[in-house]
Amino acid sequence: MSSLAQGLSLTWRNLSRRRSRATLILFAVAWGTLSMMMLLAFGEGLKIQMLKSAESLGASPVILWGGNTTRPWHGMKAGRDVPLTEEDVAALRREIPEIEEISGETARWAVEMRWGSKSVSARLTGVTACFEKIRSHHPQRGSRFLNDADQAMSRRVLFIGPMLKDRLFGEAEAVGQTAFVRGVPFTVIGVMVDKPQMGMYGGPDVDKASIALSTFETIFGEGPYNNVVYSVKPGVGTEAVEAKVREVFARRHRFDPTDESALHFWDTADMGEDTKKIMGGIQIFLGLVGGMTILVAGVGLANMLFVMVHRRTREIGLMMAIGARRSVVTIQVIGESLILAGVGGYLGIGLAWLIIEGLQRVPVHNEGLQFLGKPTLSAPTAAATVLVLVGIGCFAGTLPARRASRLNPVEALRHE
Amino acid sequence: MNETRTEVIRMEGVRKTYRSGAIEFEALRGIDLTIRSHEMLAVIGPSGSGKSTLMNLMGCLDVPSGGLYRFEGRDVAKLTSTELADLRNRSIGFVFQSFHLLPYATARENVEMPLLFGGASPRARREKALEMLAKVGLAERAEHLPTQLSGGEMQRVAVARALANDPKVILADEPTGNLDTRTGRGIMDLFVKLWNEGGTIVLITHDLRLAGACSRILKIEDGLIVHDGDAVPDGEEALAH
Repeated sequence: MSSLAQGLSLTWRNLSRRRSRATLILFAVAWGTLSMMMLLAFGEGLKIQMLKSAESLGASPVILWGGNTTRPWHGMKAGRDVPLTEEDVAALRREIPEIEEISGETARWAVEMRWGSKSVSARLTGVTACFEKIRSHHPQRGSRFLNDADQAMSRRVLFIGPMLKDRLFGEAEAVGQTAFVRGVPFTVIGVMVDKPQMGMYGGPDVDKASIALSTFETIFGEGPYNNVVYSVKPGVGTEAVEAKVREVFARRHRFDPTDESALHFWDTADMGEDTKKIMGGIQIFLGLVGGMTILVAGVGLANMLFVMVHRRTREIGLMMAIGARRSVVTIQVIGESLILAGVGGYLGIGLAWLIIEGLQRVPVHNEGLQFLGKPTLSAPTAAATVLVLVGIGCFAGTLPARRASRLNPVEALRHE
Repeated sequence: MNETRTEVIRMEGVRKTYRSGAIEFEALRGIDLTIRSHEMLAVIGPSGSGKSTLMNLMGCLDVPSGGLYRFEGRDVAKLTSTELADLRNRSIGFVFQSFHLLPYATARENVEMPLLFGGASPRARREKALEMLAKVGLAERAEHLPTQLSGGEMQRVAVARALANDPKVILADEPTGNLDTRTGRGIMDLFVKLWNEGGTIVLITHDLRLAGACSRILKIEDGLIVHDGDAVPDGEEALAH
């Protein structure tokens, strides 16, 4: 029988005969594990939620605004406006095949909207059908977004955000109702699915109304777009496309293509990258906090083992006298540490799993909680926890075990 | 008959010095001693004379500071801690004044302990432990915890534990010191029985009546052997009776 088997046989005997102390330590380790798992899982949930929010603008669209030229170019003065027109959008679609979807967007602040006797003021935008996809204007069940026919026929149909729907219609069903926009009757065809939104321009999507671009022009008259929104095809770098967009505009509007101020781009894919980095940082922080908690449990475990070695000094002396090798004494103490850390950790992981699964099933209505997201278990989280537990078990056991195995049997036997 | 008796313990000029800070204390100052198999040796002497130090050295719990100690011909000073542990396990049986039983283990489990360290299988451990307990008259008490046993019974368990690996020598340090006279006599009778069966026994005691039952008596004073013979030294006989 090897030293390992002998040591573990003693470990088992000691643990099974000293239950109350072992139970306390098990609880501490389980609690530490639970804390670490929960913190990491909340971090993971927050990350997922943040990334989802970052995508609320759409599938990483690029938003383009016209600016002012700052340099003279081919005999023309600096300081000219660069308008974004329908022809520009057509040229971009034609000349840059990397662009997947593109649409101009016009907007008016504080447009009066009325339903029955109720009247509110909200932002109104003129957009095209592709907004559903590239700007995540997803319609609720039983309703739809603007389509190409609406655009072609300049239909007077209205798509509204859920917050605006609440303001104007309250609890009433909005789809199918006739609402007056600046006194012009519109049929409500859709209400947008609610969404958390981190990045925005021109106010939150949930509190605005959208109509077809062509319809917009019939009411407010033709003019340059407020901005253009486009998405690029998968696998294409947005920066390369941005350069091409600049070239097309520079040629069409006659400005220096290197003039940065002539056009302004907002590449929302960048925001997603930043969010990932920030969330990575937050996760590391949460992991550290959880790790500290588990470390405290580890110190408690080490302390218990020190006390145990001290109280059992005579016993250890006796075992050495009757032939226990130092390695057997060491394995016994480290074995006790690893078993306590292992079983406690197992309990903690199980408990954390139950809580996390439970939370996944509970519907959340509070906005703050919604933003926090749901705690989520991931493989790296579990792996990190197990790794820390093994580390704790070894760390907590090593010093007491060294102390025990270095006892002088003569002095240990005399210990009171 | 002496020729068939093998040498178990041989000490030549063995010294043991304890150091505590700047203070040095010489517990043993040159011990020459040979113990052969089938001897029953009593070590007597006043408190602090070096009896226990001698027993710790004999039992390989400690190593000498000087001189030569051979156990069955092996130089103990040259053994590693693992070799010392194995030597204690296989060749030496300890019996202590305060029994030193593991409180949470039954009588049988206590006796199994040296067999565990010797690498015996669970089945072999159990059989041998029960055999040894029967030998000391405790077959019925095998599954009792030490707290459920009397002082004399606890010491019998300790003797059974000492016998478990069939050691070359049994070292007993004041084995009756914590027992009343009658119970102590019972333990002593057990040692005499083991000796008659061919055992080698070293008994450290204050009790000259116990010493009187041994084949050889050694008296230690101030770390030196001052008497080595087959009877209690003169002048102490009166005290004994």
